Amino acid sequence: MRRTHFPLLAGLLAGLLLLGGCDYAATGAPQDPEASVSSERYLESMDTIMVLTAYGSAREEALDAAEAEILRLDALLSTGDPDSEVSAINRDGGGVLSPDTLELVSSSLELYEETGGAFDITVYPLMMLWGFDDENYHVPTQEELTQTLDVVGSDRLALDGETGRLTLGEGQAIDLGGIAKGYTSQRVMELYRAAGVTSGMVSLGGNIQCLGTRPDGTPWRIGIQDPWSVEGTIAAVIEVVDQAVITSGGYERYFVDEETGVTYQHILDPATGYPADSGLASVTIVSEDGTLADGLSTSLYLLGLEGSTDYWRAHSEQFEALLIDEAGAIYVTEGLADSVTAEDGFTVLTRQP
Amino acid sequence: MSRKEEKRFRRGDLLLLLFFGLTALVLAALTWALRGPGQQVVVRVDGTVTASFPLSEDRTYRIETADGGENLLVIEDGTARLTEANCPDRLCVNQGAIRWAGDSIICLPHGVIIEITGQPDELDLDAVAG
Repeated sequence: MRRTHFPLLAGLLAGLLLLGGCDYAATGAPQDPEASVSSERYLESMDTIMVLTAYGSAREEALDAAEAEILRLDALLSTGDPDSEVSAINRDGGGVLSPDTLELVSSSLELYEETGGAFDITVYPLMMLWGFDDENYHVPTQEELTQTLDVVGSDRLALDGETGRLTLGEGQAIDLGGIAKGYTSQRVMELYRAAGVTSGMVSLGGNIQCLGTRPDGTPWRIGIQDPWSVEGTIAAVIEVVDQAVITSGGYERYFVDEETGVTYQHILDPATGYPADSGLASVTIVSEDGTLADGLSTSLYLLGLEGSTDYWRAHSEQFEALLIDEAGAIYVTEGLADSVTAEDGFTVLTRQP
Repeated sequence: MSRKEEKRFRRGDLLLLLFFGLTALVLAALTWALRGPGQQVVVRVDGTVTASFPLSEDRTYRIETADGGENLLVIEDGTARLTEANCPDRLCVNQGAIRWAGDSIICLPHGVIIEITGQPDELDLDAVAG
C-alpha cells in the first residue's frame, strides 16, 4: 500500500483544491482563457489623443465598437466641424436635438442649476473671444467682455422636453466640450460591457474611465498629474474600480500675454468672463458617472476649495473629489481617503463640517 | 491498518514535500530569470519597434519615418519627450514628458509611438489623469 497519510499535507491540498473550486463556482462559467490578454487602440478625436484598452477574448470587438462610437459622437458634437449637429444649432439658433445631444444638453442644464451657474454651455462666445477655441489668443477689453457676457447664461436656453427642441437666446452659442468627453467615456464603458468585456480602460486625453478591475482583480491605479510639473510627475495616486477619474486644471491650457507677462488660463468664469481665480490648481472628480465627473471637474474648479467642499457635502452620494490648491496642498473627500496615496500627504474633507 | 501506521510520515509524503519544495525553487528561479530589464524607451513606427534605449541614459534621437515624418526624441533625467516634430498638429510635442512604465507619447500623423516599458516602477500606474 503506497498511500500518503500525512494529515496536514492532505488537508492543505484539499484546501487548495476547494479554493480553486470556489473561484470557479463564483464566476459560474469557465474563466476566459484570454482574460489577461489586452489590446490597445490609439486614436485622435475631440482635439486630443485617446488610448483605449480592453482585456479578454471580446477585446477587439469591443474596441471596434468603441472607436466607431467615439467618431460618431465627435461628428455630432464638435464645434470645429461645420457639419456637426452642435454647429448647426449654433448657426440656426436652435433645433430639434438627436438623442445623444438631448441627453447632454439636459445634463448640462441640470448641472447649471445645481452648481449655481458655474457649469454653463453658453460660455462658448467667451471662449471664442479669448481665443481658446482656436489658439488665436487675445486679452479682451472690458467693453468686449461686457458685450459678450450679455449672451452668456443657460437660463436663456429653452429646451422643450416633449419635442426635444432647443432654442438659443439671441446671439447665444453652445459648446458641449465641458461634458462631451465624460459622456463619451461613459458610452465606451457601456459598449465594452455589451461586448462582454469585464476589464478595460479609456483615456480621452487624460480623462480616465475604468471598467471593473484590472484583470488580476486589483483596482486600477490612476496617477493625478502634478499641476506644476512639465516632466510628467504625479501629485497623487488613486485606486479605483468601475469609476471615471477626470481632472481639470488651468495648467492644461493657457497663454501668457506678451505685453504684460500675465498668464491667462482656459477655464473661464461665466460670471465675470475672466479666467477662474478660485485658488485651486486642479480638481479631480471620481464618480461612476463619467458625464457628471467631467462637468463637475470644471464647475468645482470655479467654485474653489470652500465652495467645492460645500457642494460635495450636499451631493456626496454622487461623487468624490481630490483638490489641489495653488500652494500645492491636497484635499481629499472622506469617501476617497482610503484609496489615495500622496507623497506629501493630504487633508481629508469630512461630510460633517 | 492501525492508528499508529496512519500517522507515520511515509515515503509518499516525502516525495510530495520534495515536489512542493522543487516547485517553489523553480518558480523563484523563473521569476528571477524573467525579471524585466531596466526601464526602456521603445520607439515604434507603424507598430514596428525601430529603437529602444534605457530610460536612465540621456540622449537625443531623431526618428525619421518613410513618408518624411520627423520627431526628435529627448531622453533626459529619467524622462522621455518629443521636442520637435514636423507633423501638422504637434499634439505629440504638447504631450510633454513621460516617465512611468506604461506611459506613452503618440504622434498619429507619423504613426510614431514612444512607450516606456520594463519593470513597473513602484507606482505601478495604469494611466495618468490630467
